[in-house]
Amino acid sequence: MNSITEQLTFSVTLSTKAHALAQEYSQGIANPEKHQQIYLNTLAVYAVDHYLQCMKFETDWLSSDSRDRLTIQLMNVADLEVKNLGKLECRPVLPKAEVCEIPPEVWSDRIGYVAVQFNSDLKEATILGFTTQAKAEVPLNQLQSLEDFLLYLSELEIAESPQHEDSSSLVKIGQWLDGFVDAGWQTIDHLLNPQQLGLAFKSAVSITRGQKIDLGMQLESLSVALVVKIAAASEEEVDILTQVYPVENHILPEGMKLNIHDESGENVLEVISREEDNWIQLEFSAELGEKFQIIVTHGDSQETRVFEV
Amino acid sequence: MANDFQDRDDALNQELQQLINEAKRYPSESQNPTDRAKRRIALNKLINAIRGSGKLSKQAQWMESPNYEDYYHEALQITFGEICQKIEQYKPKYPVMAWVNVIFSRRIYDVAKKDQRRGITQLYKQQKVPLVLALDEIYKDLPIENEIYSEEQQLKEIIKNDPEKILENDYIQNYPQANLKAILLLVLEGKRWKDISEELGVPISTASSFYQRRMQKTVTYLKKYI
Repeated sequence: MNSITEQLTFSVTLSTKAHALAQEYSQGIANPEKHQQIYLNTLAVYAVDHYLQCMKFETDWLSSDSRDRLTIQLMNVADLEVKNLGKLECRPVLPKAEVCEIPPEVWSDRIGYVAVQFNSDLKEATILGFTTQAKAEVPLNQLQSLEDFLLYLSELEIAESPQHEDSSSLVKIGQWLDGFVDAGWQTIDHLLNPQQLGLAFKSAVSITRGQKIDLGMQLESLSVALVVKIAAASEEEVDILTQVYPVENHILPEGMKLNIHDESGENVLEVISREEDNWIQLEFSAELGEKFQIIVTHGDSQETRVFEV
Repeated sequence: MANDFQDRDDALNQELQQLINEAKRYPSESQNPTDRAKRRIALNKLINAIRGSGKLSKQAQWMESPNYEDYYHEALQITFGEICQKIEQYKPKYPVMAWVNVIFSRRIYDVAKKDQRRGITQLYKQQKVPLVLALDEIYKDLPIENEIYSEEQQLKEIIKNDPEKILENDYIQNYPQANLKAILLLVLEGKRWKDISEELGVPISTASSFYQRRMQKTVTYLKKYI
């Protein structure tokens, strides 16, 4: 029986199923070191995958690099995609080793590194702890505990969930028509030049507001205006028009994306700018109380705004 | 003696029930990350305690099956996952281990039936090596030279030929010898970054980050020729 003071670990039995997978992926690799590397990497990810599933995190091993037959030959990689949170690297640790090695090719694009130690007959893997620091070697006694690991992932999980954005930055667009406009949304004549203003049509029973959005950082940064127009369609329904305009420029860069997601996060509408587009737009209607997200994407940068009618 | 066993069972059951109560105290949908983590830590401890209890059923009715060990471990793994997901369904009037073993028996039945439908022998006939390899046995699984044209050899040849000369012409600034082709071939030989950096005369971090940034492009390129 484990005493309470003992360090928290999690053990996974490496059954035939786990080994069959390791054999499938290391098959055909004649270099003994590379062969063992792929074999153990596969077992390590298998163990962490099972652990995370028990802990109710959603994983997507199949779309991770560690399941790509070519990539695993070219990189010492044992990554596991955790849905919405990012990639965890699952590093195998040999039975008597005292450090966890992290190869340089996986030093970026990881939310953390999990140490997985094997016993010598490879019948059991034990998850020891983790680190967020990418460096060549981490002594096992300096790993952060699994308690910290579960807290860290739980924090990421809540920070990335749509409900969380709701509470912090929900825009109550339904109230706009009553004259209560959320802070941070300007009248569009403050935002667009007169030429652009001619394009956004006006109507007596609607209200139009906009916000400047900065995409990307430093050198590649790009500013656009997100304009939202809301008009009452009936007692229960409103028509919403969303547009993206360039700021300090007349045309949008090609490949700029505007998406509408519904409450569950599902993509319901999408438009992508073509060469020389002056603006892009999407029109839809929503019922009172409905929530939706407007997402503006350019390259790797993305901004999301959450609304409630 | 009998009392002694009874006491130990009671102590175990109490400990397990405490862990279950601890997990239940924190709803899985709580918006507080500390609560979610506490629930998960309690479940982690619960699984460890069940594993170490010595009270898991041996599932004796399957012992005669040649695949008994596989069934046992696979079913146990599914059982652990299920316990974590269904912890709210546990009723304190039953001992925890009785509840666990009921789930376990059902899962081993499912696993065995599924396997028997598939035909037990099918998987095993094709295997030329023992299924669960120990650390010093992994080498036994190596492809025998000349027996098959290994994936690795095939890949090496594509890189050497570099049909579009993309790999050869992409090199670390000021170090033409440290081109993508040279690095790829060293990686395939199983060289470590320390050796690669020495051989090419560039710092480890420069070489490895150059390599990593080009990974996606390289994979897309090579896949065209595999």
